[in-house]
Amino acid sequence: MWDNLALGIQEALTWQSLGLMLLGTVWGFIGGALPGIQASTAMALVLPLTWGMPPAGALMMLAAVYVAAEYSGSVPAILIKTPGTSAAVVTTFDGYALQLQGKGGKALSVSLYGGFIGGIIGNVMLIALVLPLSRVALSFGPAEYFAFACLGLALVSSLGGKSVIKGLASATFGVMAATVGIDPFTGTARFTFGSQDLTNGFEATAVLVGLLAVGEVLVQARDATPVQRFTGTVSRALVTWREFRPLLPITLLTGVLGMVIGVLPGAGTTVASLLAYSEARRWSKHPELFGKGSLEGVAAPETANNACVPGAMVPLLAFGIPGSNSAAIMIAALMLHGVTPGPMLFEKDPQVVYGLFAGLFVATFMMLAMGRLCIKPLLKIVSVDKSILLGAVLTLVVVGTYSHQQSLFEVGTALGFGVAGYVMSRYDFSPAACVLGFVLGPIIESAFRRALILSDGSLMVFVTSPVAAVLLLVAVLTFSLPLVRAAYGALSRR
Amino acid sequence: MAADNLPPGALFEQVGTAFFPKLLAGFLAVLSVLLMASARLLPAEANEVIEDEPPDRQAFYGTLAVILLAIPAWSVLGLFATPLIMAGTMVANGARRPAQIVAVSLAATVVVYLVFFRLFTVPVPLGLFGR
Amino acid sequence: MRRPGRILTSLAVALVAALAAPAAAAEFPSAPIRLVTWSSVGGGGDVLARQLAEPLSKHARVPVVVVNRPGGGGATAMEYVSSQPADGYTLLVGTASGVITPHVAGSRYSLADFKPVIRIQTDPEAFLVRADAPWKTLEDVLGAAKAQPSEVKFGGAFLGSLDSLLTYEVFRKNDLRFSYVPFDGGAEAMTALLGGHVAVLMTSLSEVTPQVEAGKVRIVGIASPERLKTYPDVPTLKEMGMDVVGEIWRGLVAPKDTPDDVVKKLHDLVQEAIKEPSFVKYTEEAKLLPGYLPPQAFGESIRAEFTAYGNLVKEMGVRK
Repeated sequence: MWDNLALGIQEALTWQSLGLMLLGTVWGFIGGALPGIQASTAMALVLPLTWGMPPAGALMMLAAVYVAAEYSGSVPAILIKTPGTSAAVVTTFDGYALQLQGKGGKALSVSLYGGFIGGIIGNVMLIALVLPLSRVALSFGPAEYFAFACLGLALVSSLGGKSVIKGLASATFGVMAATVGIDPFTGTARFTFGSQDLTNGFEATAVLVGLLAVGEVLVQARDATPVQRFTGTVSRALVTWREFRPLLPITLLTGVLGMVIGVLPGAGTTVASLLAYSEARRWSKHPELFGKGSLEGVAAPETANNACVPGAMVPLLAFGIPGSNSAAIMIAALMLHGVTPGPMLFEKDPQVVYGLFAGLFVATFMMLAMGRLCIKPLLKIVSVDKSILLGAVLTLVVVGTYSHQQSLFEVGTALGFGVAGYVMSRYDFSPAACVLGFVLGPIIESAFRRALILSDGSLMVFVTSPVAAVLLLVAVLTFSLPLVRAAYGALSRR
Repeated sequence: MAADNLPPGALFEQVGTAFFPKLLAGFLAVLSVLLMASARLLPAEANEVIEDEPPDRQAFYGTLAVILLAIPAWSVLGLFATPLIMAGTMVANGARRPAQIVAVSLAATVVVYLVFFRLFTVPVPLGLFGR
Repeated sequence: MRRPGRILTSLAVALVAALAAPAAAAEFPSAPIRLVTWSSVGGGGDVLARQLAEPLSKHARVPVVVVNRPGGGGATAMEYVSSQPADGYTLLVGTASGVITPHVAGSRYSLADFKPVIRIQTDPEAFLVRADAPWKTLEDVLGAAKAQPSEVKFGGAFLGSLDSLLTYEVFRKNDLRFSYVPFDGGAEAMTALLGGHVAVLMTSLSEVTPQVEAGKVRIVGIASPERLKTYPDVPTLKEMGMDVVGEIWRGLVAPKDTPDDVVKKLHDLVQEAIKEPSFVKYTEEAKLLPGYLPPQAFGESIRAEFTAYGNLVKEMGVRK
């Protein structure tokens, strides 16, 4: 193994590989930061360019895009409350609050260092534990996935906001929107009203940028405050060691957590960042600061979502199965280069596997360097004239969603959900909860139905599987506590 | 039971297509009842939407108009709608210097064109100008 | 002779001739050929198009460009290609799903609305079990499914996919009560099989070859017309007395009104191109089978499948 690793490092440190990874980092950084371009879309866009490269080089370049995009998704989330990726939705809560307090530099640097630590933890675990971790992926059947996604949704409801009930309603609305389209279990069209466009349902990225980016543009436009909202007294100061040191335990914890969740195919970064956020709040000495500008609230989700990247490589390398949309693009790249991913990859193409290992490390360091270089210039974004900033966001949303599948319907989805997102924020519903509901809803439904087909309709599967039972119990507690608390509060105040 | 008339494709599932949407609808109904109840129970000020300052109606409706017109514009003009979206949003949000508006929206279009349509070879939408 | 008008006229004539050239089959092809696929980059149809582009361009002596038009289960690409001029310069990479999905999704076009050019490769469907499963043959599996329907569950892609249609046919021919676990994709289904959450999987062979080679899963029956050279010991479903054949094939089709001589020319060029060593190597490495069919036979097979799958979809009750 050490020989192979040395081989991989050699492969990653050639000028060609370094150049490709640098390109990948730059594009990933830009792509992740643009609303409407998720990490996987950014990777899909560079994929045709890798045609003709050696497979290991192509894979390293894509890994660099992936790593950089997972970090830079937090940049617009912090600066202008429009997350570039769905994993960064949670980062808006505290990141944007910090930015409004003029501490954007601190938020960006915490996110960067957290992401770096998460990436390193994830990579080490990946190299050391591929096989044991791959068993985790296999042990998750439909019943476990159902319980797991339910926990995710319960966490959404506990995120708070002004009203728990409104938060829940927003999430439910998101789940509802995700049921539009052909039901893969029966082929029946649901809520499509005979429209050909609706048969495939709404595209998740379009819904995300619609609700959060376009919605926020409308909120900002309505806000008469000219530019101050975005600038205030911006401090360029980054986080200091004294401020970051207390965050170390939580970054270590969420790094491990994120990696393990990243292993589960399909669940991915969104649940990881949610869970990390709520764990951070639970262990925090200052849980009351969460949502009001807590550095822990930025560090936790950002560490977790970067740790997910190596996690998603586990099923890819162990079985040739993608653990996320982004990993699916990497598999596509391998296929494109005539390398069939699968269990034999370690033996047949070790230079690809170990090149990827080494590449992930290099890419993580490049992300750190690039992020560090960019923080101060990026902070200037918030002092750009409001009219230009809003115009740029709208333009990027239109072009970005269009470039995904050249579908006008998708652009329309983004803009339509944008108006809905505005209405939701206006009346204190939560567009962020809605997005998370949209992402988690389909997992919940299909895992539930799959589990019931397998058990011939018996609900006992959710109890007889210990993993599912524990996860569901935690989910029920997480879900009901804030409701009970709210009800109690309402009654006692009376 | 009229199970014999059901297509075999739907027979093996205990929970059908409609179950989940119905469950959600029920849940939303419960939530709205709760919401109404809490509106009654909570003190009035907790329910009010607090306005810090008067809204900028012109900017809001202008931006909304850009959002609503973006699709028709994009399908007619394709890529050439980009400067209009940019400029429209800028004007709505208080940009007043014509030189700046023209320069910024053209620059944005060029950047978008270079990145998406040249570098990433997304087919250029030309609207009615195309085939 | 020096009058500028003359020069202009001759220029104009040259220009008109240049523009009109593509129409003349004798000089076909004289402009870039575009291969449109509904696969996104790296998908089966896309990889085929990209692997074909180079050898085809060598033989046709014009550039060959791959265009991805994903979306709508192929509907977007089919609509796009049929709206293009029928001059042989825009071709669609068609796959078996182009005759099934229209029945399920009710889209406007199906591959039967195009002019077949050439079928290039096939990828038969197969039943798989885990390597440590107690059953030796598909008969064993089906027997177990009859005895303990709640223990032996079958899975595959979404209901309405070729996986599900073939599984349904096998169940019906064996008088079993149909039960099927649909997954969101081949990858997810494979994880479920490896993890022991479903007992049997139906999927296309090329996707599972790595797992078979690694000794993680076993093939118990293949839905190809006859035994494969690559798996000489695995019986076909036909041999077991079930007339069930299903393959994911891929080939090129052109807009409906493309002239016959252009189609013939294209067919000849592609036929040469797929004999190139680079293409043969790709086919072997991707574990695909050469599935060459000339236009006539290709068209017949498309129409036959279109009707057969249409009936199956209706019978299964997918969609309505």
